[in-house]
Amino acid sequence: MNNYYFKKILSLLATLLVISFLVFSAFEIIPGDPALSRLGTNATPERIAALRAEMGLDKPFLFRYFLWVVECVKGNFGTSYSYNVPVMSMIGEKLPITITLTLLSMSMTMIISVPLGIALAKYAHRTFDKVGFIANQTIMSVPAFFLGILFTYIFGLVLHWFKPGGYISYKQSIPGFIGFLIVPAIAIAIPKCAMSIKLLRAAVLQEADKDYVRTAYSRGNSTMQVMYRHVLKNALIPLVTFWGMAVADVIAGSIVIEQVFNIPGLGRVLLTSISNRDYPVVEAVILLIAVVVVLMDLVTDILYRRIDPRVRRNEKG
Amino acid sequence: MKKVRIFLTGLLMTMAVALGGCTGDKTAETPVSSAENADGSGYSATGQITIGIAQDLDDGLDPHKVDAAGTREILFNVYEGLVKYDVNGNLVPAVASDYAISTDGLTYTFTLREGVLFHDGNAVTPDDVIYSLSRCADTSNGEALKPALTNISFLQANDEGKVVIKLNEPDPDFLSYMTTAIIPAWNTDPETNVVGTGPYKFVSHTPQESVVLEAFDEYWGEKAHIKNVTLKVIANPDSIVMEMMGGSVDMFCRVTDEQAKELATGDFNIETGTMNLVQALYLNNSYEPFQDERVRQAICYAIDPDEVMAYVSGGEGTEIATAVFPAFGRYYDASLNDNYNKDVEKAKELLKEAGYENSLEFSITVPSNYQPHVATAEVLVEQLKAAGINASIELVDWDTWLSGTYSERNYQATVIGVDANPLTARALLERYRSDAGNNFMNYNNPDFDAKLDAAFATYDDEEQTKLFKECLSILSETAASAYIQDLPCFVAVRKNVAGYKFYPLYAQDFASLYFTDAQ
Repeated sequence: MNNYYFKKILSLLATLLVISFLVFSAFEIIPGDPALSRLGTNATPERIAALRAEMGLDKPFLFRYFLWVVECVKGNFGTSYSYNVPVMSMIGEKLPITITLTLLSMSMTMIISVPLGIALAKYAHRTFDKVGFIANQTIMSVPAFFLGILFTYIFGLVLHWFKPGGYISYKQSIPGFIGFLIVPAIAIAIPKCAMSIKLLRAAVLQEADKDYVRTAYSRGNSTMQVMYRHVLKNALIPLVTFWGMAVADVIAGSIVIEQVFNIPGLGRVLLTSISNRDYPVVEAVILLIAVVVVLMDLVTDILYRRIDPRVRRNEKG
Repeated sequence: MKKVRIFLTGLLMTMAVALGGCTGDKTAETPVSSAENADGSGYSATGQITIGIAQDLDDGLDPHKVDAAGTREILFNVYEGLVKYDVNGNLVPAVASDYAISTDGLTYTFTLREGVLFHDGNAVTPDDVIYSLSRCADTSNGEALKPALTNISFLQANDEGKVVIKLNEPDPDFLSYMTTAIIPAWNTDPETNVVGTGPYKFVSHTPQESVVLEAFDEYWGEKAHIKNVTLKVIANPDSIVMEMMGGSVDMFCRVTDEQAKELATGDFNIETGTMNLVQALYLNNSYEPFQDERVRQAICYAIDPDEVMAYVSGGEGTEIATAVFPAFGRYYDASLNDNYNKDVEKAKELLKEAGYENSLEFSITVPSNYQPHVATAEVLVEQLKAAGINASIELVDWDTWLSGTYSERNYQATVIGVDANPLTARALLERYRSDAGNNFMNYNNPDFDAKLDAAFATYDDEEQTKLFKECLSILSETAASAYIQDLPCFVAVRKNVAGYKFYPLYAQDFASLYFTDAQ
């Protein structure tokens, strides 16, 4: 067991190292220069040189990368070139937004998809299931950003249920903040729900033929009891994998949905930092996304073990 | 027409080559003064307004270091210099109440205005002025923050508390540099301590989210009418209209022609001014075919600015034929616009003479974040085709444009707008001098250089104006580039807000805005 976590952490570190190096190299290759970006067309060669020296850009590439890694290990992610504030505090300020959005959309996905998926399986091949299946396929193929634009138009401009772009900072009012994030969260959740329902329905149907299900029925359990107590536990495995990926996807995909709803979260920071060539910020945000992806992988593994003892047993054997 | 999604985004990052800073003769009527401020007593600003901005203040808040046009135009409300620009582009006293210039043009004496307070409540003293100016002239870190101020040889307060400045050599533009922000002498870190003397004081800045300003009740001049101003960053140009229609944003400067039409159907008034810049198809004069003046002239004959305007901005805009926009009334000569009236036959003839009949090819590099330039380039390609010129468009992001096109001059042609900062003929013309660091079109003409030097050398205002006009005329005749227009500027303002003023430079004057009853 310890060996298992040790391996996971090692692979996390290796992933981060590779990713950060790739990002560093990418900025080395693409045109543009943070010093020039900041000075604009008023730049003179002297001012560019002075600013580059101030930013440490005059040093060789590998040396800069090494220096950056050393500082990161010490917990110092540097200072934003554009805003002169520590990268950590800048990201720290945006993180609650992205986390709230992720939690909201993921909990919606879970709450909606589990009962619906089971219901579809229960009425498999009947009208309810057939209609549900078509609706599901349709929704699954609609991207979240399009739903976002649609919602802004319908609920914002026509029905006035919310104020488009009326984002309220969590520092101002937490209910207002969550209230505004609900619509974007729904836009993210709907396609994810559709996917979850499809997966769950298939998994439940697969499990339903198994011996333990018949045993459970024969012991006098109702369908609901069998479904939720016995089948669901086994059917959840593919779903947990999907949800794990979905969390990472929501965070990385926040760039798009934040643009649609004008939410000043992590995605926006990433986007503008790339166009400003603000390397320290870009590096930190991408590392953060990478950490989330790897961590979700870890969490999924742990959940497997909790849900399905067989996984644990296999590992021992 | 290809709909360009990212409108205005990177645009405001620029300074000398940029768009914005609207002006126009259309200034709104003066406020119907509310009861409180008519007599100046018991004055208080009220209300709140949310103004959308396309670009965050991401080059910092230090008024002596910021370059981005989008940052400067906001800080215009927070900081003031000894003098500042008014709506007509004239320099008027601000922190100074008066100034005197010696006849040799070497000594400037500024009388500080009584009762000018910093936002921290302290009165402005000569020490603050001296600190601010010497900070900008300081060369100990390599180059001075404002290189023009290194001309100062003597900077002291005299016995009467006036600030006396002596120059090494006369500089007719020196007064325009006295718009340099005055900050308190204790403020060694203006990046963090945003303290000025303007009508609005700085409250907070949340990167990528908002900037909050509040009316400064003890401002020396006409006080602001609206108490709280929130500048909201709208990074996605597609959401501008939705947010305005939905009620989250009350005003947005520089909406596109299309957005303006849409907003006008709603609760918004559209104010029209000009961007105050020289939009042109800038030609890299070092590119082999463009070394030939006839080829450049052929291009001028092949294109039609009116058609560009009709297509890009619903017919709004002002045609220009040389490197000056109409706000420079004394240098702008509309008759030059007839130098190259569209004449495809003439263009073909010139190309034939130069040996490029039906064989001229070049690519136009355009920053993709600015829709009017991209749209302009699209029209130009069609117009050039009619004259047998094969031009193609290469879209690049703003940073790539800055480094590749502007800085390294590695391009053939580009469509961009160039503004003047400060608002002087020098700022517009000096970039055409063959050895200028910002001569990105590689224009090289000894006659022009000589004429420009002569203009700078003379102290006679009339003679200087004449020489500058001759310089501009040379640029037009030699077709330094294919000049197109000064773009129109559309500002959408909610109908219950009035008082928007266009300036001939980068300035958004929030203090002039006020609420009307009309909704």
